[in-house]
Amino acid sequence: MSTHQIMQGVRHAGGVLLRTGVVTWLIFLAIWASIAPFYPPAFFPGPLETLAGGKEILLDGTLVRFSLISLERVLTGWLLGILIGAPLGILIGRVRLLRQLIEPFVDFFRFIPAIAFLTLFIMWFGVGEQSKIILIMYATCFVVIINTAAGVLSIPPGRVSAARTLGASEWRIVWHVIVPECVPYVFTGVRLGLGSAFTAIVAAEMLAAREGVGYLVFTSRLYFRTDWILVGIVTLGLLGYCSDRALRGFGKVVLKRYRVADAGEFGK
Amino acid sequence: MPRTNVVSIPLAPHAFVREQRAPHEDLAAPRTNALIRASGVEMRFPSAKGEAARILAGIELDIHDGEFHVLLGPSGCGKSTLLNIIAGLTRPTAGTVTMHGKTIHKPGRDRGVVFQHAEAAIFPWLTVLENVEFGPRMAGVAKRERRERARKYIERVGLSGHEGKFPHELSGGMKQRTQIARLLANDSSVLIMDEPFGALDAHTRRVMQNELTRLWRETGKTVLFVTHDIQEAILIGQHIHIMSKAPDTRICQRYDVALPWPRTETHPGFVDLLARIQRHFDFGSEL
Repeated sequence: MSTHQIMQGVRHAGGVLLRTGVVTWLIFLAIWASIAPFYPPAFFPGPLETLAGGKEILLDGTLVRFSLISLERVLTGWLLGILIGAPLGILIGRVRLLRQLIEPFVDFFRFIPAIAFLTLFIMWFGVGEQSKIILIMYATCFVVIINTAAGVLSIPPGRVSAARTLGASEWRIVWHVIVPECVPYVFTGVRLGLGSAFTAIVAAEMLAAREGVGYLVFTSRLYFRTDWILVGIVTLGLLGYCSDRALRGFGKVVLKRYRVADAGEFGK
Repeated sequence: MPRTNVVSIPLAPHAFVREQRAPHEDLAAPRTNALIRASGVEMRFPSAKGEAARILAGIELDIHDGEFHVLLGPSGCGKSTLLNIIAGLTRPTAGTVTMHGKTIHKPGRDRGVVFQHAEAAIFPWLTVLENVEFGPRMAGVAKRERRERARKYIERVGLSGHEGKFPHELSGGMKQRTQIARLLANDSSVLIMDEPFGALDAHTRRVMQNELTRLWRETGKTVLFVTHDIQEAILIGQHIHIMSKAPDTRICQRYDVALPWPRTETHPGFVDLLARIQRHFDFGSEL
């Protein structure tokens, strides 16, 4: 093998590592590991101490149980939010009067994060599961409605006319033209909604829960287990990352014909 | 309204063409049994100044079953508006359009439309086959039957082997073929076509023009075709209506063309008619 070929191989492998994010994470870990020794572990634990702490709660089952609980809350509220948000979005996009009535309202609530409603929801729906799920529902619903309505409004009028001249009734047009036409927009809303759902659940679990990843992050401080706080944060990131990846995979395979874009945060 | 003025020219090459000033009450075809009839159709659009601009002014048009009509006029003269009215997508501000004697006020399966921009008209999430069976599906035709019907017309328009493709995998000509197959499978008796070949390259365009006249003769459908291209009008049209420019567009002249299909630009009858129609456009006063 010539040096040229070796260089080419190295460059290729480097490209793969860069694309898959391995390089990014190695750099991150290196920086973390080089800063941490300057501080006591109770203040800022290094990667190895965090790993050890993680192993501890992983082996006694707490981490898995908390993750599943948080995930269950997120998924339930998120799915309910989609089920309510998508049809509402279509209705708002389709009915001009409704849109005019609701638009100012939307522009107002857009700036109020879901967490702001937490205390209210706890007052109204109790400290149990209900208030948390409703909070996530609210957080998801909102982005889904906005994106779906935007999708309905962006439908080329020609497609609806075409369906009409082919003999489709107004109801069938909604189901066979408007809905498929909106799929990519709903999907964007659903992905953004998942992000809001995670934000909301962590906040909710910090304030009112005895289990869950948010609870772990919040209470570990009381036991001076800073490593567990970091484990909780990493777990959240992983849960979100994996959920989004799964969702994108679903979009790419199942919703392929609707031309759902498999794009990352930067749109690439 | 201008007086009826029929011109018939007996000698070749003129023998292929019969000319008449519109409206044509005293022409051979009796006005009673027209398939589609537009009478006094007027369309006003509100303009920026507040006063309504009159785009169409008293359009008279008779279309009989199985005929091939071309509406030829300058850009912006209201050709597409007239098509939309006949398709039932728009209502005229005055006058009526009837089909089988009944006033048209909404779209129907009997009047299929081939839209100018196929991208905006065929459904991108459906395959060619699914697009073609859309009409029958909306009409509640059983799956097996509508599949069969769709396949038949896909073959008819020369798209066999492309049934499973999605619209973004098709060329411009293939998209328009899909639109045509979609109407044939939906049993539309009238094909309303709004400059369907305008966006195609010259070669594909020529192929599509010939195929359309072939399909028309084979199926006995009634065609109403809009174009601003004089050559295209003469290549395909049986009856060519010249529309004047906006505002107050009327149908100012009708040519009945008896040249055989497929037509060529070098035929003496073609050349003669081209010269005569060109005159309308060269001298605005004739419009």
